[in-house]
Amino acid sequence: MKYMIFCHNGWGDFSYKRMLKLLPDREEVLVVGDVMAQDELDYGVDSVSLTNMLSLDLTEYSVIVCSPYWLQTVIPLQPRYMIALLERCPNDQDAEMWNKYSELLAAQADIVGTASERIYLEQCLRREGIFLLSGESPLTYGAVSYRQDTLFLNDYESIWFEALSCLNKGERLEQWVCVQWGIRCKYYVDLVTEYPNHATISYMAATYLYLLGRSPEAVHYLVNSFEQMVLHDYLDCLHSHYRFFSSMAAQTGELVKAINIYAVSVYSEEDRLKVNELWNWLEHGKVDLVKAEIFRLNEDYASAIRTLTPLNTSESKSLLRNNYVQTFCYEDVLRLTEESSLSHEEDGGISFVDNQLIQGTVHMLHNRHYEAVTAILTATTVELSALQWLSEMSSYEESAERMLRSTAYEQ
Amino acid sequence: MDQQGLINFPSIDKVTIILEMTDPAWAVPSIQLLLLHSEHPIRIIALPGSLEFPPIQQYFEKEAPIEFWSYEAGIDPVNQALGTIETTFAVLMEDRIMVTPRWLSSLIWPCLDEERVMVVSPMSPSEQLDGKLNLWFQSHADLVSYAEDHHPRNQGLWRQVPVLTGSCLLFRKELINELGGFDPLLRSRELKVVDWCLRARMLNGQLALCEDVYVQALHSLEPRRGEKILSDEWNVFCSKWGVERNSYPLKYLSELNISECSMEPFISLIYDPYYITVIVLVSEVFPNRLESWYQINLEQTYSRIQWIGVLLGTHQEQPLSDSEMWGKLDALIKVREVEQWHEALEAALILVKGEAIIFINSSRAYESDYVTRVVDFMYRESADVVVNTGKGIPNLHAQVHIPQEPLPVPLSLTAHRCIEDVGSYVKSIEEFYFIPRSSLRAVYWTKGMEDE
Repeated sequence: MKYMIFCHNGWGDFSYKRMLKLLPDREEVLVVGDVMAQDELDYGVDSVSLTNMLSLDLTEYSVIVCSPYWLQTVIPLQPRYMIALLERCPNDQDAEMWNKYSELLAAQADIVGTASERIYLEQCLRREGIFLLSGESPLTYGAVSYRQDTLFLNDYESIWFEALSCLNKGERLEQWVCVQWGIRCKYYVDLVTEYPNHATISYMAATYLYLLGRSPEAVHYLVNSFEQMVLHDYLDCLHSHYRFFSSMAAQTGELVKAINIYAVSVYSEEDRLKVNELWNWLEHGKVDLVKAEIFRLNEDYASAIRTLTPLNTSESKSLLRNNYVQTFCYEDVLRLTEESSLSHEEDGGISFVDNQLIQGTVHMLHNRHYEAVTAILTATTVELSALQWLSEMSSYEESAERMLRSTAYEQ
Repeated sequence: MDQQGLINFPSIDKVTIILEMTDPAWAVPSIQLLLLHSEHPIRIIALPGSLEFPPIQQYFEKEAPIEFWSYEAGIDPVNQALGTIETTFAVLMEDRIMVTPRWLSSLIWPCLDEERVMVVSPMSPSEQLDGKLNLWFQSHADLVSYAEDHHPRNQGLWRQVPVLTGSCLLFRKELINELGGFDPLLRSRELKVVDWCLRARMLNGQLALCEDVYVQALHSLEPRRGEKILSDEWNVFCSKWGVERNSYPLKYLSELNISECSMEPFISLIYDPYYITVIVLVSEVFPNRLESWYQINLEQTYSRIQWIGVLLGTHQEQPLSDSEMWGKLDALIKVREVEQWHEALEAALILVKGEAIIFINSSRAYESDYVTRVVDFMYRESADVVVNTGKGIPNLHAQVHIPQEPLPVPLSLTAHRCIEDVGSYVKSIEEFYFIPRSSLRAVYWTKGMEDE
């Protein structure tokens, strides 16, 4: 397997150097930009200039992308697989833009890794194939031969290695996602025994149990977390915890309970209308729609998408599209819009302006600048505020250009 | 001290290493390190842990002192290998162990130092009690650096311990003569090792822990076969050793008074592979179709089979004299009326000589390793009843279930031991069923059968 690495701020700042020795089926590893000669030797990598990289056939390579600013360069080259390594926003970057385009990077990737547990959990609630690249276990979980040595793997390295092997073979990653949830779950459940009064630890245990589909057990930990928060006067937890309770009830199929719990945390008129709509769906037997919407309201888009994907009604497709919009799966949004327009279904999900803006973004990511600008300008003919997308796009392109220049300069 | 010339280390002819292989990704580096770091001549007996274990011979030179054994369903390969030891010292090891320089002479030393020492373990993450040490190393090179530094400072240090549980044990051959092998009634490796070590103490043998040698142990991301101690097995162990059932975990075993145990410590290494009776139920007869069914389904890779055919209904057209078709059967029961199925089955059961019966039906297709797999599950999981749950990939972690209520299972997917009051047979319009007696140990697995 051939790999190509696109670092954010050059090789020096790349924090997963050891991981490169542990890549499965390793044939060739190229790093775009300059790499010190000693590092080339130590890590078994070769540097390649930006210009030379463009002359290679990337369909043969799995690319490891560490910055959202590489999207415009990498996507048009159609790599074999895209492996995204998500990082917290660097201090010198605009956080809003970094986070948005990191979401787009995750949505485009075949597999996502991150050392941040916060980003990891957020992404687990958005999409499949997310892996944590950090951990605490002192145990050794595997061994990989590297040149004359045998490298030992810890839990997350071993899981990442197995997941990448699955990706290379075109197999599903689900099994390894669950193994990692199980390990994280055990870690926090054990920690709760040690620190029974710690709200965050209990919340984390509840989250992993929920991800594993073990809501009846998760409730116990969430109740504990809630009590600890209230005891310590963190009263803003009503909204977050109650919605989580609601989602747990939806996971176990207790939909009346789920709606009732959700209704407790509702303040705005819009949310009240949503509660009415949920009751209405439930009365009409649209169980999966209720379930999916409760998941979405708890920001568990991944479960919502899993619930809605097999359904085939215009209502379910509209909800599915909302979830795709929230998770930046823009190509899926456009596909659903096209499908519904072809079948002349009633389109209650997305406005013309939003559709144009999403189209514009997709064009930009594929480096189709003219089409991107045209789509956004078309949107501005209906809604002038859409112009801000143009300025955002230009800021993104400037940042990407800066990064490309610094990479080229390194050579 | 030997290296420094202070004491002459007695010459050691050869050491046998019995390596239990569970994962090829572990077995290859584990063997490579054994070949690299063993200071005495060694003979490795590599035992695959399952039918699915792939060949790994290609990673080693032909001259390497390794015997790769093939997997045999229905026998304990460790006991079989223990019976072949001819060297003074031997090591029983799992492939999760990665050894370090001077590991072998360090483990032999307590046996030379004290003649009553029978079993020796290094410090490692695989020991659950005294010798447990979890250290993290990025690479084998780092592990070697640690060992090089650790060893001289602790050279020759060992202490007597009440029990060992780990994945790397050196022992004297003479112990096998008196102690025999692992207890076949236990399934988890840890309990087998504990039981074996406690039995060694019954023979006044000492167990030693070497403080000057650390070996690394790999862990599995998912529970491996034989890793988890199940409650029924724990009960067997507790009854055997007179331990309170609620005394789990194992640390309480340190307080066990061996002198009060009166059982016979020897467990024979002589094994007798399962003899299986396969009862072939033929309730509808289509001669041509049955001919091809016979060729596909009665050609089994397992060899120790008694074949009994049970033909139900009118089958005048059936060429019973056709020796190719029925020559394989050791006995044939034939009844004209399907309603007489129960009498036919009873007659067949009287003829059974096997330790277990596998039922197969002409309405289903079975893979050629079907009997082998059933035997494998039955033996490995100490199951009374084995039920094939259908298509799919092999379920290596078979579902063990002890039903509280009798639960009917299709007879054509079932095997059971020949034990008293095992259950009852019933028939619906289409299918024969078996209802196992509740509280029997039932194992459900997947693969090897398709509905036609």
